[in-house]
Amino acid sequence: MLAACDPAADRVTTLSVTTSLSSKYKDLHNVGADNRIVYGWNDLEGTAQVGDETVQVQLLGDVEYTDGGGPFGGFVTLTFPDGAVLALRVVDARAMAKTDTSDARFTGLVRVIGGTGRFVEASGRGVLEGRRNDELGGVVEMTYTVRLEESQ
Amino acid sequence: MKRVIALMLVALVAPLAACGSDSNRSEVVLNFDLESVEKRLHKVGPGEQILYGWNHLRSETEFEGSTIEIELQAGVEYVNGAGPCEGRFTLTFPDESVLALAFIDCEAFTKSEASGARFSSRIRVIGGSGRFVDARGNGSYTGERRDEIGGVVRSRLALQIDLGDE
Repeated sequence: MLAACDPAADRVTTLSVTTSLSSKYKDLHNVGADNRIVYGWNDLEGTAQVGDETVQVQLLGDVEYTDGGGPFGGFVTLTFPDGAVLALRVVDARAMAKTDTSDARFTGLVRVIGGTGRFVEASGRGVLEGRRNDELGGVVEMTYTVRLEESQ
Repeated sequence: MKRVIALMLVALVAPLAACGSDSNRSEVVLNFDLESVEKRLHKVGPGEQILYGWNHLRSETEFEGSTIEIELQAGVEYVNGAGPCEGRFTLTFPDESVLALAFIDCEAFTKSEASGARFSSRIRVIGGSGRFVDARGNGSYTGERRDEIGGVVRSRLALQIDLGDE
């Protein structure tokens, strides 16, 4: 939902995007003893309902996991029906999971990179929370909650 | 007993020149040209001044009939052509051994020319496989691109690598 959180500041909103992300492309490498380290890219896509709008969600994710978990990063691109784009950067994010990468829980922060259209002047920060039941490459349930500031 | 990396690397890779070594740690330098093979980039912000996303680059080095493959998965977030970058190198040697490296504090700087950039980063060894399975180390990366993003990046890796206990 795109809900006003401060009536006195009509340009500050909280954007909550919950989506189911499916991997469309992976380029992962395993190294280390017993292949305990996995690193590389995972490109995931999904859709989210934000108010009455259906938003396309792309996560260009990068991971460096040891024994199933560890830090990850990425770029989130939210494309709205009118073509407007809101871009987020994943920062300080971690996955906790079983050693085979299954049963993963994701937490982290996001920062607004910028946008186009109605988001061209957007800035702000937020958090992410998510989970993946299957191993790396499986479907990720993710929620991004962003305090969005749009200068006039 | 520690293994020495320098002799193995120099024996296999001509451009990978040993600069010095001791019983368990060696310094090596690798020069190569990276070419972009795939980009997933987006432009946002006023005047589309912000560029972010992935750039996938590859290089190959031939030596005595063998090929060393170099892959760089790079992520960028540039404003007006400069800014932070991140990435991970995968070096695959003729015997299938892999050495994995990561950027630390990578930064792209614009050049005085209309396009192009210079890159500077510290390097951390992620790990490896085969004879690099216990590798540790660090180093530095410098690069230069004359054209816009997607163009060839002339690159130099200077590494200090320890193969660990045998």
